[in-house]
Amino acid sequence: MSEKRSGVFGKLRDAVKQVTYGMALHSQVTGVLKTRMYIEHLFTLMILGDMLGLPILPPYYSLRLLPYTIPSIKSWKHRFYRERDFTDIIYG
Amino acid sequence: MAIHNTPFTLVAIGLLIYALAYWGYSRAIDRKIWQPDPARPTPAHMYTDGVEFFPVGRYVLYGFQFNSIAALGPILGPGIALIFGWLPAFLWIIFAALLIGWVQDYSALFLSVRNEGKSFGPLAYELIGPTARKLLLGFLLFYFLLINAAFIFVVAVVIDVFPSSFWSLLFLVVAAFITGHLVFNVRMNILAVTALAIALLVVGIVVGTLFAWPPPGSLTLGGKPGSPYTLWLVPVVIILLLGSLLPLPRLITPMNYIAYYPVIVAIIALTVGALASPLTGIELAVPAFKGFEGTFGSGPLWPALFVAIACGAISGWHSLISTGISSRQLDVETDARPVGAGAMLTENTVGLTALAAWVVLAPERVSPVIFPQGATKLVAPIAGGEAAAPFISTFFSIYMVFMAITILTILGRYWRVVMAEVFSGTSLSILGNKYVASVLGFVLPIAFVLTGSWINIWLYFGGTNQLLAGFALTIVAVYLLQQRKSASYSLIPGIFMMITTLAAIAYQVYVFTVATSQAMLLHPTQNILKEAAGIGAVQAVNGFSVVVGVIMFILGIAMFALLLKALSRAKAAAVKPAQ
Repeated sequence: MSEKRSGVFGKLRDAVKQVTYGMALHSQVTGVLKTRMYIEHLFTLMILGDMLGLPILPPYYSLRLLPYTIPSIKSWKHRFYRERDFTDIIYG
Repeated sequence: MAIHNTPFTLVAIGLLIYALAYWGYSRAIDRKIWQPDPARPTPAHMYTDGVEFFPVGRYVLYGFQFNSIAALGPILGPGIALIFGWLPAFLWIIFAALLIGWVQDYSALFLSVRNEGKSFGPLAYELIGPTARKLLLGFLLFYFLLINAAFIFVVAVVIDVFPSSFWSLLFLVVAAFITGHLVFNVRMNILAVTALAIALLVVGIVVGTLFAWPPPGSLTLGGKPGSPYTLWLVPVVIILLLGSLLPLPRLITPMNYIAYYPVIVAIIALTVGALASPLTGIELAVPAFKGFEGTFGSGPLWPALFVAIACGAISGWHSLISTGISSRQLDVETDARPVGAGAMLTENTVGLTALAAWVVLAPERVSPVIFPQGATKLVAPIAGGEAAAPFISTFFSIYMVFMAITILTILGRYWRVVMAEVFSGTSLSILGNKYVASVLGFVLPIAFVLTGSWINIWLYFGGTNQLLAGFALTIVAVYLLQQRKSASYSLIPGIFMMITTLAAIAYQVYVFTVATSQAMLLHPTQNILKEAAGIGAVQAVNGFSVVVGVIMFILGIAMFALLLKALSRAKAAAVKPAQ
């Protein structure tokens, strides 16, 4: 979101803008992020497949692509190991 | 004109009570029971992953929570409750707003925040036991079936009476495809795309109203407008299947985004229309009280009233949203009240303004199509008068259709994932197949629709919806007792809702059983099925509702028993209060 405004009207304008974003777009953004998350999971699996015993890509390409995976490994591990339940997937 | 006999009075008193609920009761509970600490890290900070867990400002989350919980429940429930007069409906809405509705949304949100952002399933597993999670899974499966049935029924009859709304819906679908393509593929500026989408929607309303083809009831078997035995069901189910099967950004994401704009305009228009009623001369047309007995289909005031008005008073769906999504994005604990309680009280306002639209007409028979007519009567005097009335009625009919379609497409996706969860690895794994599950999710509910009796379907849906709310309230009480905190503010409404809803489901099972065993028609429209396929087909349709009702009742009783056990265990547990 943009920088916070000062003054009563500025704050009110900010609040209305944020509520509008929350109502109109936030669930859509969350849904798109989740779609991206699943694609990233697939990408990570392809790159790290060797370590799991799944030779999906030849090691040469895995190593070339590894730097692109490294930044998201931490959050991937967190999501991967977290218990998932049917009540977690209302928005995809 | 007496001001007390206008919708203004209902809305004004209601808003005062809501203010009391937010700034009085909810603040007291917040301070005394949950004691939010702005310094305590929330799951959004502890487990930030940028996808599910990330901090979001309170205003954004409030808007998101409200948008996620708003559906047809608060709009249609008051219509059935008018069987008992407007006063019981009004009293239940404000009573629930003060003591029950926000309690569930806010407490479920806080419960999840204090438990690592866990959703309803893991919370039930942890606080009650493994059987509770299995029961919940089965319960949700039938719950979705009933929501789909109730909403598909409404869409079918509204389109049947207002065919203009179908063409507007078609414009929405086309606009959604175009928007999805322009935003995600062409990467066009969102403001320009929004302007284009809204322009298409306006064109849809105008074209739909002027085109007005075919005449109402012409696609209905039997030819009587307003019957659910309509061929409109076919294109509606096709649109729902597309939404359920296509990738989210292709249809659902842009469709829900565009549909937001007419929905918010409708809510504002209804509120202004109700508050302006002393000036426009619109009066209450429904008697204040008609008696406790109700009809054979509805049953007596208790328990029918308390399940008829669902989301406008309290709804179990909200606990799924509070625990599954919002709790993972709460920035600080002190935001829980504006997000959980604030969004619910806004939803209560939607229920109140919907009641205002229902009470200005006095129809012979309760039907979903009364709402757009009442809303038009309420709003037309401040928005162009008689000349604009046809456009306004199209607008309010698409308001209902959009509210239903947007939630149905999401439920369709959810349903097929739950089906896959239930049937994968079993001999019936074909039922978990993406295509088979999607078709079943929208075709099975049509068996309910063919009962022709909106009241019974709605009360079934309301019963299961409020029962889920009862579960959520009691699970919160179990947690609070484990923490040695006062739980009565959540436990009493929870027990009340569970007993009431189980009674309501039991009564509806009785109604369907009588109809099945005595070869009785639940609604005159079932004559069409009787003439086409014989009384056996009518009994089969009604019997299907009996089976589903019995399963829901058994699951509900089993869950109730588990919750009571968990409550007694929690009382005996010696857990130190959370620091």
